[in-house]
Amino acid sequence: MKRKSPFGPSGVSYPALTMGLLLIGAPLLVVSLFSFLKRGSFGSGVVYKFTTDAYSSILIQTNLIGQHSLNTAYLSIIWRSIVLALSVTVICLLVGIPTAIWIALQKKSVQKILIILVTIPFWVNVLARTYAWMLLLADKGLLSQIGGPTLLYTNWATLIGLTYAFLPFMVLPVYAVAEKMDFRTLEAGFDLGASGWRVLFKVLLPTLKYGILSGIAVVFIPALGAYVQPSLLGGNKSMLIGSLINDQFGDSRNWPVGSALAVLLVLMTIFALGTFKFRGRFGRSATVPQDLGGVE
Amino acid sequence: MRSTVEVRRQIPSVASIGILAIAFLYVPLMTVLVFSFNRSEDATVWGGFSTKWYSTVLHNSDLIRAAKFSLSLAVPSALLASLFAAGLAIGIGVVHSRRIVLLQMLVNAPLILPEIVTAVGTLALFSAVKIPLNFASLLAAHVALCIPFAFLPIRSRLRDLDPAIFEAAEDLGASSRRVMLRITAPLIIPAVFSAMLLTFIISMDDFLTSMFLSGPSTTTLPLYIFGLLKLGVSPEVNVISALLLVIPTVGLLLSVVWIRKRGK
Repeated sequence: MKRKSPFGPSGVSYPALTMGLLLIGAPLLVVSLFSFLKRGSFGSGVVYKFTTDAYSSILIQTNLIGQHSLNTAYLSIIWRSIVLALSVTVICLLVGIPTAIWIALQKKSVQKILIILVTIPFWVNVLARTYAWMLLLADKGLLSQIGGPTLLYTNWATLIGLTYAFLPFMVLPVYAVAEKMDFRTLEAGFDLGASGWRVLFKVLLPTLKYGILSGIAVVFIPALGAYVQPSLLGGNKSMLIGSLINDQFGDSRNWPVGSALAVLLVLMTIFALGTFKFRGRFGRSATVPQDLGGVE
Repeated sequence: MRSTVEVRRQIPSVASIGILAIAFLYVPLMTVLVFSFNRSEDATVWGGFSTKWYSTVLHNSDLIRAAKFSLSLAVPSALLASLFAAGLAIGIGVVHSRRIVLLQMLVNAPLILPEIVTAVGTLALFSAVKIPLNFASLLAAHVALCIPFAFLPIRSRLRDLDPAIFEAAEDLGASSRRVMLRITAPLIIPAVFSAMLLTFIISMDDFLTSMFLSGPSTTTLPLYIFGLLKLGVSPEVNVISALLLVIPTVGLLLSVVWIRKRGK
């Protein structure tokens, strides 16, 4: 290490760096490796023989007489996951941006309380939060008691549950930018005769750009890889990538295909990160309350 | 600020969306809380106030066992992750070489990478090098998952400190070990406590990593609860969810108040 830390000896960072190498780096490496291996014969693990079968079986299926065709089973699951994650992202944008602006327009003391309110649901166990929607959407649940439809075990329930889980992820980064924004620029826009829409698209959204891009990345990525909400709220028919990976490592016992899907998820994550470059604190980390940051 | 007021008047719809969003976040939680006091056998139909399901839940020995196991996992996870994260924040300082930035990205990957990827990856790794799935291997995975969350508050605390303090210490001839023990450590203790609290909650709540890495004798609380949730709604799960809602929230709010008081 070339540069010395002012806070203490550099050696104290080794345990954490070793953990990162062994329990994050090595697992990613092994998953990539497994995705190029043969499926284990006893329905578990892998055989150490190089093959790209896992990837091609995601794309192509071969029937009994050796004809090849597009494997729609996996592709439709991947497609459904992407569509669902995009829908969640769009809803979070439409709700999250106005909410963040609304919070930024309040007095400082009110802002703090509202941000804590947005953050708290995140620190409630994800199972409890998902269960809350089971209670509301179930057959004879509260929504159906007031005359609504029974949505539990449909894609709609998954959509609601994921939006619920990730809305704070959109509000927080947009708020972080909106809080520093000078709202008089909007006024200037109006004074110069611009219409509301024009002010929205030419002044407000460009100013909030980085917050919005961060928000898109940190909502879309976890929504794509979600497991808990789809498997509790969605039906058996609407499988997503997360459940598919789980199946390959569990019941179906095809570790190479499961690994290939995990690699695909990593690639999509990197793609999303590259597309929506973000700054500052993001995702779950953004929900760490500032007051807990040890700032006095 | 007059201008803000005027803008607020010009974009009034943001207020209604904002209020709806807050309501959207809290209506489900409040529903769970209210229905945990439901007398009825039917989880979703109100049948009067009662705390009887609370006593049922508190006498559920499987649940208690799973909760105890989760505690025995979350306490060392939080302690180790916060210790390692403090070491990381102290050891790498503020300016980093490229090699360290890459390693640090790996450490912090759980902040953004879908958890299912690291979970199946760790399972694959453990099976490839024949590490059995037991308490120790689950603990190691939890610590790796928790470190980045512990790292954030500690690093932000270090960044807020006046660099002059450390320059002075070095000029006066203090060794880097002495600086760490006498200056850095006392200054970051509140942040380390925050880190422990956050990582404790993360480890207690973790579902995916535990699901893939749990052996026959390592059923965590979330794993047990997931099993119940798979069966659908029930009065007992109303109570369990209400407890999972109230306990971390109260803990978090209390610690915010405590840290603010300490800061003054």
